[in-house]
Amino acid sequence: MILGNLSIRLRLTIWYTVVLMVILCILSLGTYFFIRNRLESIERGRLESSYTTVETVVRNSGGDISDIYHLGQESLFQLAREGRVVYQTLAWQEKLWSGTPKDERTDVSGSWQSPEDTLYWLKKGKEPVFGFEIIFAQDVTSTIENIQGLAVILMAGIPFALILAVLGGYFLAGRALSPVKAITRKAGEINAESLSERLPVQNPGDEIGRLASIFNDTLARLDSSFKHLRRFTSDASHELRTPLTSIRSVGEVALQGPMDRKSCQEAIGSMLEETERLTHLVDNLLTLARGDAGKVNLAPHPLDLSVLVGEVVEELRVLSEEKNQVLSTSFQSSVRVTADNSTLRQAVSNVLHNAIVYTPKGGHVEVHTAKTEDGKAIIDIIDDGPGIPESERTKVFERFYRVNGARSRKEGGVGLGLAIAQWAVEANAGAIAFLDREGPGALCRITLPAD
Amino acid sequence: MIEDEPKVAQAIHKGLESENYQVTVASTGEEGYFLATTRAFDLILLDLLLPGRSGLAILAALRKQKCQTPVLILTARDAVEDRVLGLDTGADDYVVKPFAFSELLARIRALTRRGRPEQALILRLSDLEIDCVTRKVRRGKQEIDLTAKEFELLEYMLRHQGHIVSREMLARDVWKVTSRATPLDNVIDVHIARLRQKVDAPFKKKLLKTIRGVGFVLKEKDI
Repeated sequence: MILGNLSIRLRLTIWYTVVLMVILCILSLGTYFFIRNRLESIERGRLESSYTTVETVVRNSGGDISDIYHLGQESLFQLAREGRVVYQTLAWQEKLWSGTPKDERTDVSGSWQSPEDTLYWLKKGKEPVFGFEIIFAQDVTSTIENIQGLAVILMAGIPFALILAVLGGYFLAGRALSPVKAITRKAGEINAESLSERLPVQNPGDEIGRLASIFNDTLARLDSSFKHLRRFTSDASHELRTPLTSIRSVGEVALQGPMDRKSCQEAIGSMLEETERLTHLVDNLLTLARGDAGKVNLAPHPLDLSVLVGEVVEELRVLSEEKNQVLSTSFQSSVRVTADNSTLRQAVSNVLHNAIVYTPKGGHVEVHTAKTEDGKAIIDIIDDGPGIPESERTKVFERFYRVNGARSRKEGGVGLGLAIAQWAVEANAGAIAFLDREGPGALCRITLPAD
Repeated sequence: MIEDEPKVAQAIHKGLESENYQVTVASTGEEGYFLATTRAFDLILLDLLLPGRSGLAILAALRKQKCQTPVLILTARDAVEDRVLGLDTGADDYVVKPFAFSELLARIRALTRRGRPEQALILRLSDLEIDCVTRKVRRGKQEIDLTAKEFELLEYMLRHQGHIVSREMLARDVWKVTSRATPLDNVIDVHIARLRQKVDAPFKKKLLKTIRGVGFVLKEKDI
């Protein structure tokens, strides 16, 4: 479209003007023709009735036209007989065809314009009455002038009204769009560093206000994900730097110390341990990054949830045995789900590992599977460890998050286990959450759609 | 070995020579391709990210030339698709960087002995003997009771006796877990500790050793 490149303000104005022009034209033409018809028919009526008066007089005279003189000399008419003028009023003689030979004025009809620009309408009878041809004239100059004046006013008025419409429309469109301008300016200023700023909402009820509010919501989400990302980056670099620092300082210290076999082995072993930790961290991050990018090919198969959970429990049982914990299970038989074996196993494994790690020696860890009445399969992993405060129950699934906030690595992983578990459960169309529990400890529930 | 990263190449070169392998290193794809087509090797170690021709292109060209030398790919790319692509192009195995050197050795051994059936039913080291059919374990005259997992672990260690076994190898081969992002390392450590408790602790001669930061080894002599 041709208008496509113009601003909305200009386009609105143009549309407005065009529409107004069409309306004005139609209205003006209608007014003009209506008024013209009315005025003309009034004149015609007057002409008709004046003519009828004269004709009646002539008809009633019975051929003697002497009565005609009484009709008044101000009327404009003439009588002719066999092509010869037999009577003219004084007014006629004065105004019409003055200076022209009389007999040439018999064949008249329609209208006649005098040299002084006075316009007359003429009415001639259809057939002579007693041989008399009656012609009546009427001065319509003022009526015609009125009609012409109306036309002039309308013709001149339209462009004037249009100019006003353009100016007014442009102004109004500008006013209506002024919040958009303000929003545009503000949105242009907002960047990754100032995501906490918001667009101005002048009137939250109107369309533009709603648009701005929605943009503000989007900005809020963007803001929080940027904050997450920033914290994630700083946490990740912290976690990567710690083993790197160890490797470096252990290496440097070893180079300065005695180079006997034992201390070399000690130093290299320690460096390799840190390398292993780094590798582990990178593997975990890669798992999450692939999950984020949706690059993990899942192969969902129908499987028995209790079998899968049972295998994970047996795999990790040795860890709880080492801590003299009681690891008990209760599995409802044949709870079947369709899920990717490997990722689901990873999720259960990570949650259970967490429970075992955070439950003190001699504690209890329970694992249940069940099928709820509304067709969901659930896995509950319950421990009687310190539990998770309610305010932190969603945060524990964030990457690198630790409940105590400390960055100590004493108790196992780097803080990615639950994040991976959450990703793995959600990839299998499930949900994972820590729930309220009577008594101490934590209850983690994994919910999956059951078959 | 076709590997462009000098440090990695040197480390592997040294490590393999100390295991009595003869190694020729090519640092570009073209050089490697030239060597592989003009000389006979028992095994090619191939990096995928090379300057010039990529490792996969070289592999494809070699296989097209009917070169049957086993190829072991070393790469940092470990997505399943990458592995499949590598193996489909004609590689025989795939090791993901960073790898444990012991794992590289194990894979090289596996590739170079492929085709030879080697499934001894009775495995021995010093006075330790296990029977893979009856699943009996003896140390000297004393019979030792192991759980199923401990037996599998010991059998695997015995099949790799004298060589270091990393936790990754154990996770993959004994626990059959392919994902590396699992808390399995702790589980492996506990099992090793228990195995040591049963197999080594009561006896004077210690066989199961931990190599700090690397893995474990079953060996008669101290290292």
